[in-house]
Amino acid sequence: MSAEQDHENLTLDDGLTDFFVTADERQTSRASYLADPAFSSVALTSSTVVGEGTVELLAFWVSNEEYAVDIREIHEIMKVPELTEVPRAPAFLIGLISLRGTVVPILDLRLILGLSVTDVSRSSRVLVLRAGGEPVGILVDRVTSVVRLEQGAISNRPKAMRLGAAEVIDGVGRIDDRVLIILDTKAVVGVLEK
Amino acid sequence: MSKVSVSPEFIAEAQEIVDALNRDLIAVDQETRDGNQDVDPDRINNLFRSAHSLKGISGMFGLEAVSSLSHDMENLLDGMRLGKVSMDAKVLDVLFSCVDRFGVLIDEAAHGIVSDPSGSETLHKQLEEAATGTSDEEKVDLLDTIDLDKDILSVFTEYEEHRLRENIKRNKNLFTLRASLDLATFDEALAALDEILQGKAEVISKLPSADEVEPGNLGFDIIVGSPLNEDEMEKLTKGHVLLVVPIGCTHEVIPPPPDVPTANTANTANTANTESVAPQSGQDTGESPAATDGKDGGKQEPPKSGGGGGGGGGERPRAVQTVRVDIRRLDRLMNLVGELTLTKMSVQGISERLKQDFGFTGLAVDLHKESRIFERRLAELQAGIMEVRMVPLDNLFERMVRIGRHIGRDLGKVVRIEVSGAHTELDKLIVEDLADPLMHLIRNAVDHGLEMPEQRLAEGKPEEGTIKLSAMAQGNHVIVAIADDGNGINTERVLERAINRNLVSEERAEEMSKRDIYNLLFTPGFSTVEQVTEYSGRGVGMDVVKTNIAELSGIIDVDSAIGKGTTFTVTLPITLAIIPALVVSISGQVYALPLNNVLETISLVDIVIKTIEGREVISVRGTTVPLVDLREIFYLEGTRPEGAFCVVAGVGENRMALVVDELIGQQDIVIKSLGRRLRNIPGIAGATELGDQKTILVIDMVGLLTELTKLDDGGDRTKVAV
Repeated sequence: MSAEQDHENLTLDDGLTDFFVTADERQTSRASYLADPAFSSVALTSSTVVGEGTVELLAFWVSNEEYAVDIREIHEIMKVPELTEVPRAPAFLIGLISLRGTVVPILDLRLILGLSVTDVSRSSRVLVLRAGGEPVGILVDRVTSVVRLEQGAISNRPKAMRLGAAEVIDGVGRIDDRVLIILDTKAVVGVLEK
Repeated sequence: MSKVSVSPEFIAEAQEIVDALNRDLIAVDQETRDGNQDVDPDRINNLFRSAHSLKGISGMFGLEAVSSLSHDMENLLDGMRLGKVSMDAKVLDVLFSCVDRFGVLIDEAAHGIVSDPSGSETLHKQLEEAATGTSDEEKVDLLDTIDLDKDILSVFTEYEEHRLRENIKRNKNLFTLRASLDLATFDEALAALDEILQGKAEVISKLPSADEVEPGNLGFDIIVGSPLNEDEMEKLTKGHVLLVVPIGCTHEVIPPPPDVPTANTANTANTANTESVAPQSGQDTGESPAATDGKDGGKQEPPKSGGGGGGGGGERPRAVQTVRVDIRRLDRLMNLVGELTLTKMSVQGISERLKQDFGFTGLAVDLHKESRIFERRLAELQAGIMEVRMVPLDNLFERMVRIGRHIGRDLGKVVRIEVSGAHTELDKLIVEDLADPLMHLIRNAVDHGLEMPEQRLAEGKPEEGTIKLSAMAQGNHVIVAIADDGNGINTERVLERAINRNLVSEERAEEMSKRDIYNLLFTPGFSTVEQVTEYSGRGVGMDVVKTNIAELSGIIDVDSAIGKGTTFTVTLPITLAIIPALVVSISGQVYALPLNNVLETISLVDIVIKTIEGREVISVRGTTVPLVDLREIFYLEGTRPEGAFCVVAGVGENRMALVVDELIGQQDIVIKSLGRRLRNIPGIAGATELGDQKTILVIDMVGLLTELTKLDDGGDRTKVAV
């Protein structure tokens, strides 16, 4: 699988944009949507090829910590749509959406990570993870950018992590003075199966 | 050669099996060509099962050529399953030839020609050779290449030896891990070791060690095969074992394990190798990469005959003039129709707005007209897809007749099976899932319902027992009934058995109605694990039958009269793909209630709500029905408003009245599964989309009712309402 191929999926075409923008945002044109600072231009120009030993990550804020996931794991990024609440479900499952006919559960990452929960804001986004064919969405507070990291810049996860958060964390990446906590998407999605 | 007539249903079934064989063989071919010796054991099992089924049905129709060939094929595959025979190009070749031969034989049978087995002489020989040959000399060779004590080898089980050989074949490094474990806790320590090794190494054998270890401790030699090298293995098992002794590192270059994403941790020798191996092409059907296997290199390539799953044999006349389509494709089409419905509604919305804003003239009129046409065509498209999904029950019924007769013969009973309404149509998926429960009901009727001929004569009944298998359409439902003219259900014996098995208390037994007693038949644990025969080998009890039918949103009922017989009635919805539903709101949340189980809706305004043991009940047509408020079960906020309604739903004899705040309307919905990860939320059957692009949940009425019924049977409310 080429990195290029994967990037293409990130580009939101007209139809999708229309579909995922909630009613009050529908007037926003596609151009302005893509110009949203939440999307780095790197993510959407799709021409760069990533060399061996480098990973591309999408970085985002959750509460007051910066996290990242492998960009190849991301199916799409969307503004927070209207959610259908699910009774009898664990608290972190905040609802369902329908993504072109597929039911996608949305998880509140803050509850999984044991972080403080604030209201959904204008900058909140849902990242839809591929999750092995049955997509799962995660709610994040703000998407920052796409970063490239050498494998060497990623260290194993520190031993002293908050309880609960530890099992969904893959490692810690450093870029300049930023510290990115890299999520293990499989484990994040896995909390649903417990 | 002789001329006979073989039922087209057999032909279709046999062809399906041959197609499956072909598919699995092609997959195995692909896997082994990728230089991977590790054939998925499930594939071999599938092949084995297919060969077995083919043997069964061809035997039943007297096609000896097919049944004897599939018998030999089954033997070979069985050997393969146990690792006695290895899958190589030559064996694969023979298997492909067999599948080709089946294709010819079945096509001939379709045209009424039955060949005798002698036509497949060579294939029989080849199969036999393949099943017995190969492994012996290899065994000596391979096991000689490693440094393992002969004494240890001699205590290996056949399976362990097989695994050992497999590991050598796959160029794994072999180690003996010597551990000294405390006598008191050695089993825990071994389990901990297993966990560490999980995914990194295969434990071939754990042998208590003969060597001296610390006093009070038990020594173990654990033989493992792993892609890790000695250093890595030592690091991995540090603190758990005393020693890591390499006993065989047969090849210097170890190919990266397939499909293990962490391959880069394996060993450095890999990098030299990977360049010569083309990247794994995933499931691409294209040419397999030029693998550097060298093992199959010189041998002829197995013919890829038959093409992709039944596409082959184009020059031969096709036996059946139908197209077999994977039902999932139809599901996808149905989903698309659902999406189109949403688009249609948007278009209609635009048309309405246009009308309001600019008046009903010009383009607004045109758009309105076109959107009406769009709506009609869409409805036709939906009906068309539904129609494709619908199949008559005749195939299934014929199979049941055959099975019933067969069982009757086996049990020494004379059975006549009368079929009616076989043309009734049902969703293909439902028909498929109905086969198992129906087979069990037929078996049950022959085995437990009908008496032995002598007894029947003594009772003044005809020697021949009759089972009536019928189907009829009733609105959006189909009713399938299996009625025997046997003994009837002896309620006393049922009660006795239920009490013996602690399914009911004696006090409760005394107040049970006849119907309650019949329902005991469906209690888990009531049916005994009957002796394993060809038909009961699945260990299906009546409780499973009931569950299977409930999964199809169906209801099973039983009625019986002593001496006259027993009737099982199964009521099923025509389809599960699109179902009518009632859209309601409760505490501001919108839900869809499938109408399949809805009996009526009642306004609560004039109804007297009583309480029994703290639970609300209402009286509906003389019956007391529990009033269920989803606010309580689903933990919804808010209180019941004035002027609420209730929806009375029923499964079998069980009823509930579900409180809803508002009836929004009736609508056909496409139920979408919540996916593998969420399927276990009780009370929710799935989700669906309404026209306004809103996703709402579909309530699982059968599930809720079952849950409540369990509560009534002495369960504790808080326990279930988790």
